Amino acid sequence: MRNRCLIIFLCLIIASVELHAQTTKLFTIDGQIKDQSSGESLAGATVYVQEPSSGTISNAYGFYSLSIPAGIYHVQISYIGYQSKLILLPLVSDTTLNIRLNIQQSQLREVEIKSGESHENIVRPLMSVHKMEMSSIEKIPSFLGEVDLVKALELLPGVKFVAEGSSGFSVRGGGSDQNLMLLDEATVYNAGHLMGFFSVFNSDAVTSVTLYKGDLPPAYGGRLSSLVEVRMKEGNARSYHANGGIGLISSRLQFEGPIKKDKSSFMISGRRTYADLFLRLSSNKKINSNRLYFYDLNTKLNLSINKNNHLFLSGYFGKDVFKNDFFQMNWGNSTGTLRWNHLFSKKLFANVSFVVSQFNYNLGLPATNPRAFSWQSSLSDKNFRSSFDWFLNPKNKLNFGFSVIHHDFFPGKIIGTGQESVIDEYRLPDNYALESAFYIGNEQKVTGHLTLKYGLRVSIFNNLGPATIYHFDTAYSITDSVVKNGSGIYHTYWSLEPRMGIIYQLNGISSLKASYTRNVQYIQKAQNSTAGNPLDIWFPANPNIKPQIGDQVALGYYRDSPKGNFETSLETYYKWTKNAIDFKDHADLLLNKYLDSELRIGRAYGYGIEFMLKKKQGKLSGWLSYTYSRSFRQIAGINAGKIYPAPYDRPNDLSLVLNFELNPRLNLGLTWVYLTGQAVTFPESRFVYGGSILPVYSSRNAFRLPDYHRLDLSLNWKLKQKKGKKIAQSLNFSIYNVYNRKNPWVINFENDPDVPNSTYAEMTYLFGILPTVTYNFHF
Amino acid sequence: MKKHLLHISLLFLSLLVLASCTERMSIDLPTANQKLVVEGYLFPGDSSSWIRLTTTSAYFANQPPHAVLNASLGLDDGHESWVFHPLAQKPGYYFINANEFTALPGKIYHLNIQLSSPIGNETHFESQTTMPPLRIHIDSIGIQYAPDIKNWVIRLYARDSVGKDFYLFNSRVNDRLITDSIPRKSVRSDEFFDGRYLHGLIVQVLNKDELHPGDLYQLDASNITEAYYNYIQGLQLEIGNKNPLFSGPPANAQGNISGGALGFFTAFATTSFRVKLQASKSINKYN
Repeated sequence: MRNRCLIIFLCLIIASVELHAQTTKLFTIDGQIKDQSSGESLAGATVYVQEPSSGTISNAYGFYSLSIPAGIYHVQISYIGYQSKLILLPLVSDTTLNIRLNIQQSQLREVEIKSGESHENIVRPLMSVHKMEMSSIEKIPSFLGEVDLVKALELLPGVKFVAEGSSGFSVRGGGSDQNLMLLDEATVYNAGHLMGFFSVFNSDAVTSVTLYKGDLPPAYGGRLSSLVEVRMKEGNARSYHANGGIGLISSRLQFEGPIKKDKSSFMISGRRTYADLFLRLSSNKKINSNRLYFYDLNTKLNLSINKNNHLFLSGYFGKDVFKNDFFQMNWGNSTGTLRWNHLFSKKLFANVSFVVSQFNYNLGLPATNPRAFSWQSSLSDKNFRSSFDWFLNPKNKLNFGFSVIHHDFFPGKIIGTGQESVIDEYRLPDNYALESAFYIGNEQKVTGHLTLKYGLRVSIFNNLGPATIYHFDTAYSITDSVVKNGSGIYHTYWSLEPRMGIIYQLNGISSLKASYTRNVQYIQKAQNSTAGNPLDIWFPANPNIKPQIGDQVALGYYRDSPKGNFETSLETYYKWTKNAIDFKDHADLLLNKYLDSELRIGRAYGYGIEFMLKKKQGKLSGWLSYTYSRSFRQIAGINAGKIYPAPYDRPNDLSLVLNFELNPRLNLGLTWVYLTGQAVTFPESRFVYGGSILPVYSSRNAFRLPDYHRLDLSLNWKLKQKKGKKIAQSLNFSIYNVYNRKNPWVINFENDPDVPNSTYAEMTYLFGILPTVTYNFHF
Repeated sequence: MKKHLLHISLLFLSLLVLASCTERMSIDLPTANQKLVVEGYLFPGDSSSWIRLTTTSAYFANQPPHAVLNASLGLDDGHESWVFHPLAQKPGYYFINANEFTALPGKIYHLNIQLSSPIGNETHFESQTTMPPLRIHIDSIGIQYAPDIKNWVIRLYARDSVGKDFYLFNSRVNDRLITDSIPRKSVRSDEFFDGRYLHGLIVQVLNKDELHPGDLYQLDASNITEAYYNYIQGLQLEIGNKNPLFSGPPANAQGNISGGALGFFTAFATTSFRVKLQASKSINKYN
């Protein structure tokens, strides 16, 4: 079956190359699309040549290439949030056409929108994907004044938070570890600060985020549910600027500017909370000894060596710290990316990257404590990848490449350091693995209406020694173990992951799309809580644990209003997973060297229908999204082997996001969200044992919490800019949960200490109404 | 160790969640079919072995559990057999006197329960258990008031034998059982200290008002089976507060009674260490 798939795919590719060889003489227009004022590359900009009705999209680095016969053409370049450009181009030879676009002014009225300008979602051979610019995310009412791109993603159809206040999210019913989060190509393993209340992505340092819901491009894999690509700003290559803000929770500062104008630039951005700085002012030692903060530092260097070579170096360093006289804990991510873009020719673009990323945590009791101990854990990746975009001809755009990741899992080590400590050292053995992939894909415009998108990813996962493999019987008791010495490969999995899509453009403003994707996930998180926490560890597939294999089919109808101001989409999907992982009841996931025995394997499936109506321009803009979806699991050894709702099964999900520009200096934002209550397990009766009243629970996830809904409002007020002064200032007022809805975070069932034989239900909710104000500046 | 760490993490969580609130709420819960509940203990030596039979009830029933009367309970080890007698003054309790029966380590004991009327469509229930040998010997204990947690901590000085051991610890003050509920019981696995000498391992924590200088304190230590250790741990997880950050999905602890009944039938021997608490600000170590 796998060989047949490979043969069919190779035939398609060969046919495309043949087609390329037979076409008449074409000339190539290529170039970079950038922001006029900052010089930032614009990824995903549309380059459309009207006369042959041919177009292309700039790649992740702003590069585009399009081959057409000689002639005189109207070339339209457009990008969301920017003023489109229309250029008259006489094409008689290969031509480099670098484009700079200006940001769209806010007073642009609906009547000024050019027709045919923004039908990207109709023509683009992509479905189940959303791209958001930070400029639009910043208009959404924020939680405690912190602009958060993860919380913005949760307002999109098919995306739900896993718990209020958490940075984990579920895409189409999948777990939070099924989302591949990349920051400038580096994997971010734990994207939450303060136990997940805020994400690690500093809005000042980020330019855009793109979410792929299951239909991952062939260049990416390793996760079943989604890819979240976060791109850092490159740094303004033309002039120096600073951004900053002082909020309720944190303050931030960003500098960017040219090192050499239009040739090289830098960007550095930092954010830190400061509640602990106020705690230090207290005279009470119990208060002033507390340290509670997090910080982020984003850095980027951008160097244009010549017109064919470009280097980028970016890094992220973030940490959360909690410390007092009795306890200490810290965790954080750090990533580094070195990237080289090279133009082999006007049609062949290459990107070569070397990426490192690490997540680690440490906790314990301080050295002054006689019971002092230290507990450490980490996960490190080193990744070498290369990708090529080959703009073959107007009808074919090939992409191919490879990636190799070395994973180093350090699950945990405890050292007793206090004189009364019970243990000396207890360490779980490290795990090592290589995760490699080769891929090739093509976007083929078959006719003016029909585009095919197909690709194949071949993934290989090797377990590397040294390692100890435990064998278990059917009751999950250990029977024996095998020690693998040396650092060689002792086990391999490999998979074919086809990716296919069809786009049929019904007319200029509507299209039908369909896709099929297979994704394979080789590493997963040992987490059985809904929201997850920094102590969760990742573990690899191994001889006991097969990789999870997920398939998804999707069908969608897309329609724009004639002027392109409104976009609507209706998508339906069905996904199913083989070797789906869950954990047994009362699983012991912390520092457990027999972790494999805590897993239970089965299947998972889900389906849904997603509707979105978006207004992109004008004084009133925003979107309405509604999703009806279900997600289920069936795992032997859990819930007596019967089907049960997945933790992220929340059938109804509605988000309304509106932004109203009262005037050029005043902007109102509104968000209203509604979700079906989370699936939970409640008691159905009780019994007495050992002097205590104990619950008897229902089947797993047989109940629901009350439905969740919440209204947020914001007002952004740009202060009058003094004449001759460069600094622009604004105040942002946000109210989270305007009508103070008590959305249950958890419901516990307690024994009443005051009334014998009595029990009661107790709800915990996190956030009532929360007003905040943030001061922002820019110069 | 892991529970200790989890409790610390929960403390951290509670400090972070500054804006969170809790309040009682009214909630309707359906009632599942009634089930039999068996709480059974076999002891060696001078202690009478006993079984308690009750039934489940609606979660908000707010009444004592319903006792199961007129049941026939038999015990055998494959060679001998015994019969439990109902305890008139305590409905639902059945016992065997110490002079009739003493549990022996290594033997497998079968329990048979025959009800006079069905519960959950069943009248016959079975279980079996074995008593692990008592391997722990308490050399001394320490009693210390810990000002950082404002509680008394009880420290154990003993050697853990090589090999897997699971322990149950209980506390008595002036002959009254303090650890008289599931959350108060302390169960330990020797995973982190197998074969080592325990220099003051904290095995019990008492509230500051539960112990005073001059009181008679007694630490009971028992070797228990892994299954019973898992059962008590499971019950403690379910009786504790849950939150989406750290808690897995609720689930019923795995008992060892057939026919869909709840509860556990177990056997263990106990060694005790008894002291009179002296008044002192530092750790009191008693040999």
